[in-house]
Amino acid sequence: MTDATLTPEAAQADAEKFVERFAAIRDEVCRLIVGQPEVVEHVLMAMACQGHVLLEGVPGLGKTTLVTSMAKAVRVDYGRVQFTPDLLPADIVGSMILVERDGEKRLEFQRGPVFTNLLLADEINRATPKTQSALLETMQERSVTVAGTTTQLDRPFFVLATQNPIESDGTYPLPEAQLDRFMFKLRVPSPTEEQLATILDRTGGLAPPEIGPVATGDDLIEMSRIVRQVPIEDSVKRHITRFVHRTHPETDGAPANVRRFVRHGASPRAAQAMLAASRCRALLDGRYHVSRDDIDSVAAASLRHRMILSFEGEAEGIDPDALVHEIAGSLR
Amino acid sequence: MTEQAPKPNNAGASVREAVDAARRIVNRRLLVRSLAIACTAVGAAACVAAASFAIAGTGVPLIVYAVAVVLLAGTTAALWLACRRDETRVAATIDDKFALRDGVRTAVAFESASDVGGYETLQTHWTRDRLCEIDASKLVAPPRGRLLASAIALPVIAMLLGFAPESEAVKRERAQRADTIALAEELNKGIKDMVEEELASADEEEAEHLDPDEVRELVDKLEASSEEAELLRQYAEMEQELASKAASLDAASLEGLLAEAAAQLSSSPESADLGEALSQQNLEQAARELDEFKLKAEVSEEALDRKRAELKKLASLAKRLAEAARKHDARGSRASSTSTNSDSRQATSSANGDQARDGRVSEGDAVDREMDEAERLAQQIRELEEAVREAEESLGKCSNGQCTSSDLDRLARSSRNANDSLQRMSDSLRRSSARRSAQSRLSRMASMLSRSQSAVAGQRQSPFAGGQQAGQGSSDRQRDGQEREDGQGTELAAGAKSSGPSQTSIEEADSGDGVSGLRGSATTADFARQFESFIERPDVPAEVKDGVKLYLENIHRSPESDEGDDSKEDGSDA
Repeated sequence: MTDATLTPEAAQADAEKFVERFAAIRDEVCRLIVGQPEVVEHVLMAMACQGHVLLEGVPGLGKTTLVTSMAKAVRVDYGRVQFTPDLLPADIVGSMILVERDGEKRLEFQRGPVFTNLLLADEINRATPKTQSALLETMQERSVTVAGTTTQLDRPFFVLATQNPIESDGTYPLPEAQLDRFMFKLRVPSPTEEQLATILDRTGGLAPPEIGPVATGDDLIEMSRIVRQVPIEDSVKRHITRFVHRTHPETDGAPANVRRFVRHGASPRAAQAMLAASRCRALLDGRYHVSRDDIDSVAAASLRHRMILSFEGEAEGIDPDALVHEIAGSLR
Repeated sequence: MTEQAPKPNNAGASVREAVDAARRIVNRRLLVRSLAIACTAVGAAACVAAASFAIAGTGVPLIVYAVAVVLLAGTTAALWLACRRDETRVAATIDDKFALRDGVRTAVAFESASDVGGYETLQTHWTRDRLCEIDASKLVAPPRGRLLASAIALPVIAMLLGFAPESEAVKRERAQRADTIALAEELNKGIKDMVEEELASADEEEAEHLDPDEVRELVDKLEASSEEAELLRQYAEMEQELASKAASLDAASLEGLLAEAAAQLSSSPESADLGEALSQQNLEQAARELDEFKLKAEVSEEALDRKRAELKKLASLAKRLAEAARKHDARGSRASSTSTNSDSRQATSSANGDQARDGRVSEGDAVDREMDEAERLAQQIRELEEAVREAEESLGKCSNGQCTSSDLDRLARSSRNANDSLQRMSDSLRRSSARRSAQSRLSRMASMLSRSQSAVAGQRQSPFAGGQQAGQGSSDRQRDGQEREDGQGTELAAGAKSSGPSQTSIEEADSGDGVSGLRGSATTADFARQFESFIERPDVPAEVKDGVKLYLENIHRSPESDEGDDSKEDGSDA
């Protein structure tokens, strides 16, 4: 989608502004978060593209800290919901309650914690599927419908969810429809020894680093607009479609391991996510066009939760990232 | 070979122009590279081909190099067409080679687009800035190292191998093949001329036996081959055909009857000339002599004495001929019983094959035909004898003075009958003369083919190689190189008179043990040659060989030997 009225000077100014804002937020967050620049960058890219992120990692890696730091750096409303098995959908989206006002009793909609700009869904896989499904409309339509009344959420709206990949007792794996709504699924790595020492230095003192606001919600919306204007050449765009197409085992040209270990491939939302993220990557790289390298660099984060492994794949412990890399190799 | 790097960021130069300039450079390099690869591949193939010719001792034919050049051009063109790059591929190559992250291909597409925005403009500027820093000559490396060395060395080696000389064996073989072709052409022409001469000199009755169209068709089948084996096969095949044809005209039974008649007639002075003609097998003369025995005197009372004398002479002739016919019949019945036994033995053979069966049928037809001729002649002799007997009876009545007009009429009728019988006999003799002449012609043709085979095999000189025709001796005029009278061969080699080698030795032979008779020796030689050539053929089954051997022995058995056999049998009976 090309804006023919946009002058080169204005485009250059937009691109510079994007990179400047992005770098400012990233640098601010990284004052507290140590050793996870890629995770931070991907979270920011998702926010710049108005996408949601699923953070996966063992407890104590700073997932919650990352999200709270992000909320502070962007200066947006922040809400946190600790997902538990007894959590109900109404506890998230809100409910109609009986209110007596001026001697008159009536039902009023009591907003839930989802009415915020940045929602931290902590340990999202501990809630029941019914409760998890309460987020479907919220994440895709950015609206809430209760008792037949639809209420739009404030913009921007992001869901940053976390889940623990180790514990399985009392957890409910996210359904495919829910997973598909996350733009990225990021794996939070354990810090190295050096990084751990740095973490101790930063957080063990009397005054840990304070995260201050360096951007606003409107800045994120503006960044989203800028990203969408980055052009992409047709043959490069075809690289995205071929990439997503080859995640399907029944497709001609799909690698052998994909045919063997994948039950369902990625959805069109994956292609949309890859396009938006690769545009963002191109701007961050100082370019005004998307390259296949940009696409490949965001492919794993965009596809790893959208490729449903077969029983054999699960039994063999196949890593979807390896399949993504295999597909990328087959396209070169 | 260094190429000047394009300056895509020249003032006003677009990305597409820069890519186009790079494309030309890339495609030129690819053309050179394709040529080098094709030189290597075709050069290697040419080396192998040339080496194989050189090892075989034959010179490398020019066609090898012509094919190599065509292959080189074709391979170069095919390789270049397959790997040459258009604008899109060159843009991708530049992106990959200089890590421009699909910038060039994107810029090319944006420059081709109708509506572009600020980002597209920025992108093309960004790409142009990068393009000015690249060296397009690095996109495709020129051929060097092993590829360049092999592309030069292999064709050179192939060309050097072309100077390898032919081996002596190959030269000899080539000369031999040329000689064989020349000899084959000479032989074929000579055979054709000889056959045409024979056919042209044959009269109408002989031509019926010769079947000139079939003979000419056999001659037309002859081809001048460089392979001796092929030539031998052709000549042997044609010789076999002609020999078979001549054999089909053989009439041993009739010959036996005529020989018997000659023996009987020679003992009488009145018929000695006829007997002599028959013994010399001059059947034409014999027919004329037979005509002399016709009753010429008028049937009248005044000419009875002359009639009686003619009739006496004719009666003597008829008697002797009848005696000869009876003897021949008696011998023929014994021969037929022997032949029947032979046929029955052959019939019991299990693996005779089609060819042998066909040959037996053909020979059987010939035997039947000649038996018919002999039977016919014997019948005519019996008719003559009957007519003479009637005439003698009629004349006997007239001699008693009781010669009535009816007796005279009867005498005249019987005289006509006797003359008719004589006429039929002389006609038979003339037909036999024509058949024998045709058989001789076919035998001569077959003999010529036999000599041609010997010439091809190197056992003797070509039967058509120079020299005078039969009956023409050399003369001083011809030896001096003057033109021949018959116009054949305008120049003859001149030589010094009496200076050539002379035949001075005389072969010694035991006296008294030779067989005289030119025709007999020729027949024996012809029989031996046919016999050996057939018997020695590896594709003929042993049973057929035995049958043919027996058959040939039977048909060539001389009357003397038969008589000897008869006397032996008589003796044994006694």
